[in-house]
Amino acid sequence: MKYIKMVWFDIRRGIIHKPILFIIPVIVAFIACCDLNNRIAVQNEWNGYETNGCETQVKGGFADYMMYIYGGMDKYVPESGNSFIFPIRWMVVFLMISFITLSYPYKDIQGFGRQILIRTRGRTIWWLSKCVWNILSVLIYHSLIFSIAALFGIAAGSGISGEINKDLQYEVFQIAGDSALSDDTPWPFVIILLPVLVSLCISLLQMTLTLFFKPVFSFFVTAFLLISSAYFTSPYLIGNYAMSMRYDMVIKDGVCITAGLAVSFVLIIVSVGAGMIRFRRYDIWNED
Amino acid sequence: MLWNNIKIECKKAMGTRLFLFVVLTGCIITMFSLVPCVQSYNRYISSLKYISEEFSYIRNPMMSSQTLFNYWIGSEAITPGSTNYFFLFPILVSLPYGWSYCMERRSGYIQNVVVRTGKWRYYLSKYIALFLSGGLAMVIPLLFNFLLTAMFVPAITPDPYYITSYGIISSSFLSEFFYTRPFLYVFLYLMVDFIYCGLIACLCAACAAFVKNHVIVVLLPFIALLGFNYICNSFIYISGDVVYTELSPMNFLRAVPAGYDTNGFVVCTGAVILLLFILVITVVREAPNEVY
Repeated sequence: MKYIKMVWFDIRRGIIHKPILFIIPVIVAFIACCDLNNRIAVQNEWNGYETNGCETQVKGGFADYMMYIYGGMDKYVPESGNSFIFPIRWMVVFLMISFITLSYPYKDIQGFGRQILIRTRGRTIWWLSKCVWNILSVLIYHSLIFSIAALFGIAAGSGISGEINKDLQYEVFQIAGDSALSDDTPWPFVIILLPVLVSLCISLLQMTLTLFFKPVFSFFVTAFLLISSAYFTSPYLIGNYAMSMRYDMVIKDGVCITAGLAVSFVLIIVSVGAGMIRFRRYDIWNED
Repeated sequence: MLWNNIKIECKKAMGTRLFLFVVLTGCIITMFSLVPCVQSYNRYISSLKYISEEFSYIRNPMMSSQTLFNYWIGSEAITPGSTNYFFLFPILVSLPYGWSYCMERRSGYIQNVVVRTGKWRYYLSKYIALFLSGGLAMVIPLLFNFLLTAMFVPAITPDPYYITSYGIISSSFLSEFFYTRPFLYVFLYLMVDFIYCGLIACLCAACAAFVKNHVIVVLLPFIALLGFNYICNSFIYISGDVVYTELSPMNFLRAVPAGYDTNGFVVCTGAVILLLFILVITVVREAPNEVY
């Protein structure tokens, strides 16, 4: 009962009273979907020139919008003349949720949360309540992105279909010919769901890091991890599993989805566990 | 009195372990640019040696295509060091002192200072300290990298014949200096970086007018720059056939264009807009407010 009350308190203070959690994903997804529409229009115009207008018009569906938002970028090959341009859309999607969930637990422990901790005498349930709050925040954030993509899919006349247009994605992400897979196997919808799980993992990891460092430093570590993941295509950098365009069923020599699932689950458990252990000895009177 | 205030604020901003930590972090990140660049230069020299041994002489070793001015961190957008540094710099420049105004208001320190010195002296010295700390936090690691790179790569004046090696074309910002006075080019770019990063650090104090949480205040300039870059990327840079001008400071503070060319007018306008924003917030909103 005590735990449920605490979770409900966090939901009220950390989610319901935080309009930014609802506004930012809508704006981010809206801009990304408009951007894809523009690019599809440019591509249709180009196809029209090439085929004297006989070519069927390409339409973006729900899964295409999602793939565009969570796609990230192709593998980067550092060589002269090939400057690294970070995947801004993907960075914004993942850093915004890290930013939104950054300060609430820290603020809570320096204010009202202290009183709750003293009265309930339950450090573990306080931490677990914050983990549930974090998970719910991330799920709400990504659900809103999904909803906007679904609305755009319906508006484009494609409905809410899980089918991803491979050619369109290869085109908009400018995947090099030697990286693209030539088989006709459709991409499963799970490639859009795994980034959400990785986002959850990164957010929990960041919350655990705030128990060891100050929040700004943990955000810095998150940003560093994400930009390094975009630069290096490596199974050891978790950000790679958050980029749908880096999966082995999408491009050659990509990262394995199964490994991504396993790594995400392990990191979620480790983050929650490490945070729980650390929080038992955390000095809650430590003033900033 | 004002001079004393400025001295105290500068000491608080730059005489701390946090400032040292930020500068050190910046220097460590720049090492991830130095190492690949020096390796790449050594590979080039080895290949020259190999060719000269095999064919007894080299007609044109193209030495001016491989110079300090296209190997230091500001002039390349390929290594992980350069990528990370020019992405994370808004956090690095805000970290040393961006939180101060917000914290001083919360703790009541501002009341003690204002009653002794007056509001304008307090704000002026605060902004000067912020500006200097932000600018130095950005420029010291860049300078460190430039000097360290100079120990391995010779500073040969760039030759327009090898324009493809540098990526700086006639329409690029300050390109006339790059091919004639390259040291002046580097100095001017460091000044541009210094001014911009100083203004970005001052933005934290301006943001404190709207936000009470110091964690958010420090990160807000980074989020704002990221958002601006996102909007530019989604609504302005649409066509692949058009040559755009770089609008985002996250890209144009690098001395070599990574995406689109930098324009002097855009750089100056951006700085003026930032300065006006900070001034307006301070003069209209913050200064007339009661500090008690």
